[in-house]
Amino acid sequence: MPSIKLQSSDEEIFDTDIQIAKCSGTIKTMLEDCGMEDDENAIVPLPNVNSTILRKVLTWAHYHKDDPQPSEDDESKEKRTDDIISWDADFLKVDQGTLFELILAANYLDIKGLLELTCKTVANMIKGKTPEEIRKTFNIKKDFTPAEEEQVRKENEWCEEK
Amino acid sequence: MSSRKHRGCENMENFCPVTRKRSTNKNQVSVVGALVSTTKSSQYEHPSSPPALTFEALEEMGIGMLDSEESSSSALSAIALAVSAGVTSDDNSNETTPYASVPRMAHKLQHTQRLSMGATGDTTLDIHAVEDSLAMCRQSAENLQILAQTKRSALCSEGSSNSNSPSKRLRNPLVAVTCNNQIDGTALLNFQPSTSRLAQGCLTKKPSSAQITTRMIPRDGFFVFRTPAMSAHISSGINYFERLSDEILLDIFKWLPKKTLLRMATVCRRFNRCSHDDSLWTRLDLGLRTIRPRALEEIVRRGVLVLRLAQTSIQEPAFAPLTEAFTVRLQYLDLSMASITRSSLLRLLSHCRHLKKISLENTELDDSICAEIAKNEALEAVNLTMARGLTANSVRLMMKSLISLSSLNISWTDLSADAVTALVTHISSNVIRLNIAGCRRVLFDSHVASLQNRCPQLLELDLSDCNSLTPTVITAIMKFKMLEYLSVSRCYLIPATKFIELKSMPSLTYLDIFGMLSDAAMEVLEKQLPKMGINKFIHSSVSRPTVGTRRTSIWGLRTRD
Repeated sequence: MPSIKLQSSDEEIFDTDIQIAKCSGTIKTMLEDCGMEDDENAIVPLPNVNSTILRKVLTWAHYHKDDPQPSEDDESKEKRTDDIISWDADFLKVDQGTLFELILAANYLDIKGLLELTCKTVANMIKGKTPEEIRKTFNIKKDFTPAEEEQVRKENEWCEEK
Repeated sequence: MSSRKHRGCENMENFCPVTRKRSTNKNQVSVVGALVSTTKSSQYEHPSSPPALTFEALEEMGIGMLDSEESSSSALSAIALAVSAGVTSDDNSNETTPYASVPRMAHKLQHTQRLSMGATGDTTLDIHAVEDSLAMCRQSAENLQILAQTKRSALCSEGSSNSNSPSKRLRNPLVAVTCNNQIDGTALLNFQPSTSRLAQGCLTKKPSSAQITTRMIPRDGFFVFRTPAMSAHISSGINYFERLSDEILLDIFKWLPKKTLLRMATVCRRFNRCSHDDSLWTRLDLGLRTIRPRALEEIVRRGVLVLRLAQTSIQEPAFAPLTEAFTVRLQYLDLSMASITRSSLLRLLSHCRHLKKISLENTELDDSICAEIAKNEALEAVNLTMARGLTANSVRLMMKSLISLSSLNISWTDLSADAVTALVTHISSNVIRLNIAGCRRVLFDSHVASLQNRCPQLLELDLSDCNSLTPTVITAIMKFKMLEYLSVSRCYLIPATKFIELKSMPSLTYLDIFGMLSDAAMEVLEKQLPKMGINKFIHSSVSRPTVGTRRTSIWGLRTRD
């Protein structure tokens, strides 16, 4: 199996199976555009991902290397967040900082499956909480003026509560 | 959808996917199943179901105003998991008969709960509330220390009980729940039973760690289920959302049910701005709900494309009194049986220029409303069944303007003979499905002949209850060379023998003639027309957004994400 070297922001080198590295759209394009595929010693710098996160990402990519490519037509798919497999759920048993770093990395590396998974996980953390609970969970500051708050509340109360 | 149809015990697997993967214990599954059915129907009380659980479930279903079934079911499954977790933790202390142990444990539990009640107020939720950062720091340091200890002891116990295997299974459901965080604040409180139950399990099982455990119950009961990493953020004070671009924020928001999305708007300015994004509001189903004053304006301004307001009660005023002209993206609008005033409907339609399909079944119309409908030249399907207030002028205007129309249901609209004449003279020749039923004494054979001239490629024609039609109409009908479906139910002037002539229409596959023939005559006719499906459709589906029991899509388009 051919492999390539990925370099994290803290300059750690990850010797990675090329097939696994290519689940990242960013790396795939980079390899194909620069014709680095045949060069065993080529190093792909990933300045936006540190070694801790890159290791996590590669672990995920390794586990999911045989997944079918996610389909492009986002519209026809039903939006479920309760379909996270147990391995992924265990994989994402991390602190909020790491979870958000993973989102950023998945976005930067263009790994659709991981981005979807991490975003779903955050969505699940939000679901069912009151605005105040959401603020507390994610350390969000309420930056509305009292008048604005009233206005926004009105705009977003559509239905009669039963 | 189909997977949610039966929620019996055996179907728990579909309902609650995480349980499926782990639970091997038959008893356990049935308990969870029973609990879920209790929370669903609240018809019978299971001895082990805490009352709060039922209440919670009902609240979720009742108040779940915009939530899709999916999310409420996921909330339920979270509860189910919580319960299964509770049961499993009993399992921990008494592995042979988990089911039987439930009531007993629940009994003991009350005691524990009462003991720790005053203190449990101090747990997760209140930790949030502590604003004093100094106290926070001290507490968090303490938390981490305790948690580290707990984890060590947990690891120990896991190692020791690994020989009798189920320990992995025991831990997992809880972890899945906390990780997915599908529980809201109240559900969190509902966790207390299982929490203290587990804590009690710890007490009885590991007297060596009793000191740690007792220190834990009051302060950190809930964290028993969280890894230290998971809880670390609580006191970290960092808003990680600030690091995400709006684009990524939308990637997260798109997984939220509409109800949650509305709640997100009230969290902070940025969330408010992002929650208004068009991409999040493509589909919206508010069928059967009561919509507050001015909410309709908010809704259409969000850029909804597919909007279901069937049987929705729209409170006045639906729009702010003075707003500048704006055009909405709305393309598919189902207002069937909605309660909406003519003025509000006019305001709504005056903003719509891109409609493709509309249903105004059983609503009040007038000429100005019809004029607004006529401005949507892209309209392909119009359902006006039982609508009131249609005049010859408005019918003429609509028929002249709606050149793309392919499907029209204008049955039982109390049309005048002039209106019918206007209809058959100006109807778009693209129309392939037409329901004009219920034109008593105003629709004549000549109208059908005009219609045949205008729309020769009609596939579906419903003329039921047009009881002025005479036997000669069959001649006109037989000129429709492509007609596949014909209904002439209760057109009493047409004798049974006339229908046999329809045999020479090769395209005709279905014939509805309800209320016309005796059983004996029907048998004869069926013999004469062996290939024809006779009286197969009681209700017309022409232009109707929803047919049968399916209510989550309109005209085949999903109304929920």
